[in-house]
Amino acid sequence: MSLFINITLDGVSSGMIFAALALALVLIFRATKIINFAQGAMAMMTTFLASSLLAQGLGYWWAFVAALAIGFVLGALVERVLIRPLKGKSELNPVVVTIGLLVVLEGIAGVIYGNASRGFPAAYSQSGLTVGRSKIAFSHFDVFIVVAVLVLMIAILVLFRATTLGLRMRASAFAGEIARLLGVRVGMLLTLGWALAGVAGSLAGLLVAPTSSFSPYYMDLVLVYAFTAAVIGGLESPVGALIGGLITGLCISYVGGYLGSGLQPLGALVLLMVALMARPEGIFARHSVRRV
Amino acid sequence: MIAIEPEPHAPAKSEGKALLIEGLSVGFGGLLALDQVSLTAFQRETVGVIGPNGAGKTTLFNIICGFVGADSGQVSYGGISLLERHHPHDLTKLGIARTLQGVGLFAGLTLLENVMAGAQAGLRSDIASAFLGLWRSSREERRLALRARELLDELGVGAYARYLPAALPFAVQKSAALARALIAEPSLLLLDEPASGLSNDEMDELATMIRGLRSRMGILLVEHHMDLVMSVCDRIVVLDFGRVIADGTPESVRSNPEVATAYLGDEIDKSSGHSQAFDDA
Repeated sequence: MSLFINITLDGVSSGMIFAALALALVLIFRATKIINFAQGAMAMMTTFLASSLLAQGLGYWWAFVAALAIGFVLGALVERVLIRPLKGKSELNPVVVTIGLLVVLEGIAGVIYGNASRGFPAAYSQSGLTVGRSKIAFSHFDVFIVVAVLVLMIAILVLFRATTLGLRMRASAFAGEIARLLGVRVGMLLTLGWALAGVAGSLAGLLVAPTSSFSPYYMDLVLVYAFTAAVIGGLESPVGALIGGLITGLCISYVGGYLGSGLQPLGALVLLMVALMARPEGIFARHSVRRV
Repeated sequence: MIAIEPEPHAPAKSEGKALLIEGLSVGFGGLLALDQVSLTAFQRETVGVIGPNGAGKTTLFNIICGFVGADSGQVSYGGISLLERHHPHDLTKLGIARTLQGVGLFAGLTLLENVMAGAQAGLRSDIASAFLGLWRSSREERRLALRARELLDELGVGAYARYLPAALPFAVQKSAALARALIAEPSLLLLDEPASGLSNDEMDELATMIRGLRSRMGILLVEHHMDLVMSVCDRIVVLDFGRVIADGTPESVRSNPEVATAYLGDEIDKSSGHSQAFDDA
């Protein structure tokens, strides 16, 4: 029983991280109908830059905020420089460009930092909390993960639901040409969407790094899980990303805990297939998704 | 740091702003969609643009909105050229709003949100208020929601404010689309076939609505329904094969033989003489 509880708790904290990266994928997909395969690599880059800042003696939280800010700028830059010129071209082009960017970023990181895995500090203690007399597999850092991702989710939802900026972002996502006619600067909002995705991705990168072998490739598998989560959630809904992330995190954790961690990627792909067969449009039906 | 700009308050539009179109031509491949078209719409004037399918009416709208470029000619509003360095998103700043053929509401937004999305967009103040002060933003949001609700009420569809468009009758959707254009407080309103798909009763209501707007703004109306055009317009411009074949009051257009030719085809053509009909166009 305690094994089950610990595996479940582990699934929740990793699920929240998948949710953050899935949110990044969703923010971009709902606005541009592009899957950003480089999202994980961009997060890897910003986290490595944070580790450089830490090595320079900067405090953890300064480096943390700097990584999020760099993620914002990097996201905007990628949209402006690489994605915008592809407008109106074949749907395959963004796929090739984002995968290309993934390879290039991992190459650059390998050249600068080397391919060996290194350590990255956690914001809080990673040893398990004590409940009653027993230690559980849920640390202060896991609590921080859950809180940080929830804060991000709520901030994004408030932006979309309660501000005119968010209203215009939603309108642009539904019909860009019409929004443009109403005076909305759709191009700027697309850049903003990519930038916000950059922030969400960076957060995921910072949260994964302490618990994994921190190398230029450490986000590859996380991207696969986040993609699974985003698809389960319907690819267009921030709330869907959260729930998809939790489902994926729990499934992966159960597979790892009961069947062996080597089977985890396979578990994610099986989950993706089952989800697509059961509900091709995602767990959230189209209307409820689109209203978020 | 982003400076907080004062909200671009729509000013009382200056008198005498006019839409001037002169010698406008545009071709798609070998086809001349508009051929030396000239027309004027003064402030507080309702001008109808009619003509058979393919006469170039929608192309004309698309050029005004900046969706399509022109080959030659001039289009200006209030002295500002609409052809040079002009983007569709600048249109509302100039005081021009457009409704679309069909409906064109955002499918995933409620009617109220659809109308709110049509309000004058000040992107910089938008971002500033969203990121720097949610308090200010939500106050702004409430003011906007109130205004949107007023407009929906004015057009008689306020009861549907919280519904998604797909679930609503066509006429309701069309009214919401009109409200979305009006919330930008335009001085020139471009209406693209507002009557299509409406019943006779609904069309009467639309006519009343358009007449009510006449005192507030100039209106350029593209429409197939002759009765509506004749009843609401101060002036009517008739297009045929991209050329202006008539321009005058509803009465003069109604009695113009060329117009009858364009609409009814060859029978009249033969009796009145085709070449003569086109020479004085």
